[in-house]
Amino acid sequence: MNNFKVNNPRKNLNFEISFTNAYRNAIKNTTHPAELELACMRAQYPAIFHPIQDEDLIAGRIQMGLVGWGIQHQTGGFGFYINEQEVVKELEKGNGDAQYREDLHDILTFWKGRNTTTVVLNNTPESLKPWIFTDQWRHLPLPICPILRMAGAYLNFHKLVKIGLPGLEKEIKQFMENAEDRVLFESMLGALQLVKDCALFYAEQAQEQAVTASASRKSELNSISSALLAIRERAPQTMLEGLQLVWLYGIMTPAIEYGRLDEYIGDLYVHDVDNGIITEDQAIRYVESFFRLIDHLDCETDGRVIIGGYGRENTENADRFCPVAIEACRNVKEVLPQFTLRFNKDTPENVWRDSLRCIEEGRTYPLLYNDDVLVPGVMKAFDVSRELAETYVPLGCGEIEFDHHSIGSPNGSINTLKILELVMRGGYEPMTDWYIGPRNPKLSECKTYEEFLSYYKAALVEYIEKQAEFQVYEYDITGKIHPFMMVTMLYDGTLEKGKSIFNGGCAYLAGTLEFYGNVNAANSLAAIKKTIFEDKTIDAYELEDALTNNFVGSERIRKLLLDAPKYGNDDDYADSIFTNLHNFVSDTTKKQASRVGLKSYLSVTINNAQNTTLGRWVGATPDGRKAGTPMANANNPHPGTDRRGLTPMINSILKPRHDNHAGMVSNLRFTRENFTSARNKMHSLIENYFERGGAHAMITVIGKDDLKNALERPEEYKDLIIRVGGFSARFVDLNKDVQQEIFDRVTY
Amino acid sequence: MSPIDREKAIVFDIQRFSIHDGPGIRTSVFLKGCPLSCEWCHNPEAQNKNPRLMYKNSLCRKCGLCISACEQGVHTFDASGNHIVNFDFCKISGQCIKTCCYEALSISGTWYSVDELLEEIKSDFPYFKIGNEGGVTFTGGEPMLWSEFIAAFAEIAKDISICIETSGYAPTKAFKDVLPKIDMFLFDWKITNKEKHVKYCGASNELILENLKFLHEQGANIILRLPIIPGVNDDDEHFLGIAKIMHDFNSIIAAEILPYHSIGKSKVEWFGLKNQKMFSVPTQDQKLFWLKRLKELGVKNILLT
Repeated sequence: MNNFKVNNPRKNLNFEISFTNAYRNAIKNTTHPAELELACMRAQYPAIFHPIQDEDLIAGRIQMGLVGWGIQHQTGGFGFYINEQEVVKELEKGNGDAQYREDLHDILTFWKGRNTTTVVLNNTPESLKPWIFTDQWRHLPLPICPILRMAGAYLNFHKLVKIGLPGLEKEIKQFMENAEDRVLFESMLGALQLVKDCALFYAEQAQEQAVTASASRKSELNSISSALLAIRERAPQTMLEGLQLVWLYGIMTPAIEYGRLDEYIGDLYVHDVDNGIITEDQAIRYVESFFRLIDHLDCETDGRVIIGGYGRENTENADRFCPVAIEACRNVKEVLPQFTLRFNKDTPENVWRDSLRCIEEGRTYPLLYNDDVLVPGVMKAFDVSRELAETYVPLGCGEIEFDHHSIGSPNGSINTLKILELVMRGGYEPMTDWYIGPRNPKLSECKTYEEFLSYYKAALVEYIEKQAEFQVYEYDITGKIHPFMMVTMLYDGTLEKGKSIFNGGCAYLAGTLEFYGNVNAANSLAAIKKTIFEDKTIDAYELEDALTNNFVGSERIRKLLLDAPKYGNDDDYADSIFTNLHNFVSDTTKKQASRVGLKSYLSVTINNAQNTTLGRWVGATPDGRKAGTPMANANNPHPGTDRRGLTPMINSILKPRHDNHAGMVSNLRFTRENFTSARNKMHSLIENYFERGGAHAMITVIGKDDLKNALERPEEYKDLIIRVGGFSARFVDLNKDVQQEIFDRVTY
Repeated sequence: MSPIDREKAIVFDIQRFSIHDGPGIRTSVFLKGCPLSCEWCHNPEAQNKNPRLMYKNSLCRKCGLCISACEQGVHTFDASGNHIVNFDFCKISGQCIKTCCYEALSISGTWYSVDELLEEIKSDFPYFKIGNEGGVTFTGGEPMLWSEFIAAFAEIAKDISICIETSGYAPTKAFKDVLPKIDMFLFDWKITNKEKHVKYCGASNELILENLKFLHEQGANIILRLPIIPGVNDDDEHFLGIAKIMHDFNSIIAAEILPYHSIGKSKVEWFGLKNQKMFSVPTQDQKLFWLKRLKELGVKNILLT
């Protein structure tokens, strides 16, 4: 649940009650999804707006309700949504009067069957129901799980800033003439009018605040007001107007990706600075305010802002803007936005060095994406032209789409380690004592490793197929209920076709499937192959017992499993098993598209907390991992198993291909001391990684705070090496008093 | 002492991505055994050439499996449940290692042939190419005890740059034999005063100075490494000695101050060594003072690591 960063969050659910009543009235008067959506938008905006805060240079703070209309859970919820748990909490507090409590009961029962998540799950096709029946992955040991949402809307802000609200209205009117669904277009015009009304709402608020403001604040508020009034009438002409328009439109979408900022703001920035309208310093402060507003959405993941890369219309101006954005990133030390740099051989040197400098300071941003590997890779994976591939944008945790052209919402997750656990036991799930999914002979009944592997692959295929089918189903049903007009208006091809985004309008409808557990599954396969079938040091019955008992009493077996080859040590035995598994699942996933009717359907192996939460319901596994403990993250070795050190580890993570999936995250971790003492070597190492085929890197630079974490949770910091010439030890192995001493002395 | 097999050496650690042990990105190969016994040594386990059991108390889960695995009775629990290790009983059978799932037990010191070592560092070749500067650094212990091994390794690793970190305490012939194959020496100058050198390091520094002179005259690339320990050698007598060396051997590329640190004290426990003498850890101000003083005395290319 988001904790929107506003000074005075609402303390009651009056909004939720009035939203419900507005919806109730609307469905009496219309059945058209667009008219219904417009009514909901009117009930929601400006009701959920919060006042401009003293530090804001742009207007627009929101607090989505516990009931409302959104596009994914990070925007309050999916479609028409209710956060039942929180509404019940409010009821149980006993606040308010009798009428209020009656109304709370009303909204609970009203939305029970009507909220979009429930509607989608309840209408799951019969053929899928045995496989996909709940989205409660936090509580159940599931091999696959649907994710109910429409994620990844990357609006065409470049177009919006160029033509403005009036320009967009004009376009809509033009296409309305020949449109089959006139009501859709009329509702879209209604939505744009609502945006204008909300601009006026905030303009008036800014003027009101200005009356009692200090001289400098007054001037800022007047600028905000002028910008808001201007964008009602015409396209933006200044950087502030551009940012204000994008932000206001965005929070009403509701959007959480803020796209290629340098492309859509670069021209206005250059214009303003070259004409003395603002200084570079002021520009930085505008961008900082924009970034703080993105952060206030508190949506954990997403909040992407991207700079750099091929495919920008205005490369020169965009490149001039990049250092401004990087500086803002350095200064706004919040979790969001997920500031992202797409770089290539044409990236100006100063942009590259500034980015590495920002990373060195411990920001973790920008996330680095290598165009020269990804553009060709994306061309192949998505089967698209170079021109389209150059518009690639990573959403959320790293799934790739095309800017304002495709939606590849990740609407399912698959736990390949859980599936391995099931296949080993013939389909039996040991934690909850039931059978899930396909039945096959158990590991103990397999005569060869290849035989076992074939059952595992067959199970993976079945699960992937079901997820692909669900993806299409989810799009279909959602498209019929929700036009998401704000998205529709700023996506390619929708207006021409006269159809909303998920109802036939999207030019390139794609899907993605989130894979978790691949590294542990590969390590487990390597251990099975080595100990059971090659060395024969463990037999399959012993293994099953040992796993069932979480290795208690079977430490000898656990040790043999731990010592088996592991991915991350530049050892082809394990690395090839990993790359083969990755290629198999990626190719299988890719094949689904034509079968189910999507432009593409691709795997992603990304970075978020799911490797931990999904790992909770996987028992002990043949890689030596104890029951319930976290699985490895994305493309990275399982913590502690990269025993040979950094350079073999990098060799391993460079092995997977990047032309058959839609996103893979690689994490690298260094100490700040590495940079301060040998900056050139560090930069060379990073550049070398990318030259050798690295597609992506999320680089964390550890400072003093992290050392403190390492003292408390050493199992998460096994890779941390404190280097002194001629000596080394893993920090977490040193005695606690020595660790404390190092910590005390650290100056970075 | 048995003759050292010229094709094999005892390696006690291989550290990749070494950025402080020579130019570029290097792989440090730590060779076991040292003729000196410096009181501040941060790899004290390396003074002895033989493989030795290593036990890391912080990782031990007290499962007790190592106790039954060991025929020599090396591992026990005391009355309070602490894991006690009798290192002297250990015969390096490796049986206890096979039972520990928590990486608390290992053997420090493994024999490697030159071919095996080359195979082991193959993963690092791409990193040596970065800036064309990287390569292998032999360190330890005193790698010159294994000079024949190093020379043999250089033969089969012809394209790889090799550096040696050395105390300088080895037969001059050994330096002569190995010199053509070595790109750089990281050469320690520990204490100028001869008597103090004996007291703290276990041998005099005359041979060391001779070897430094020899290398200088032969045109070797040298970086002078200066371990500075408060209360031992952070005085003008030693600093003047350093300045004289840098002046007399003016082809030395640079000098690097290695301030004393106490991280090595964990190893005393890990290997059951006799308690090491502890010195005081210098503050940042102290380090900067040393740097300043050495510059004042005329040392030009001096760095503080």
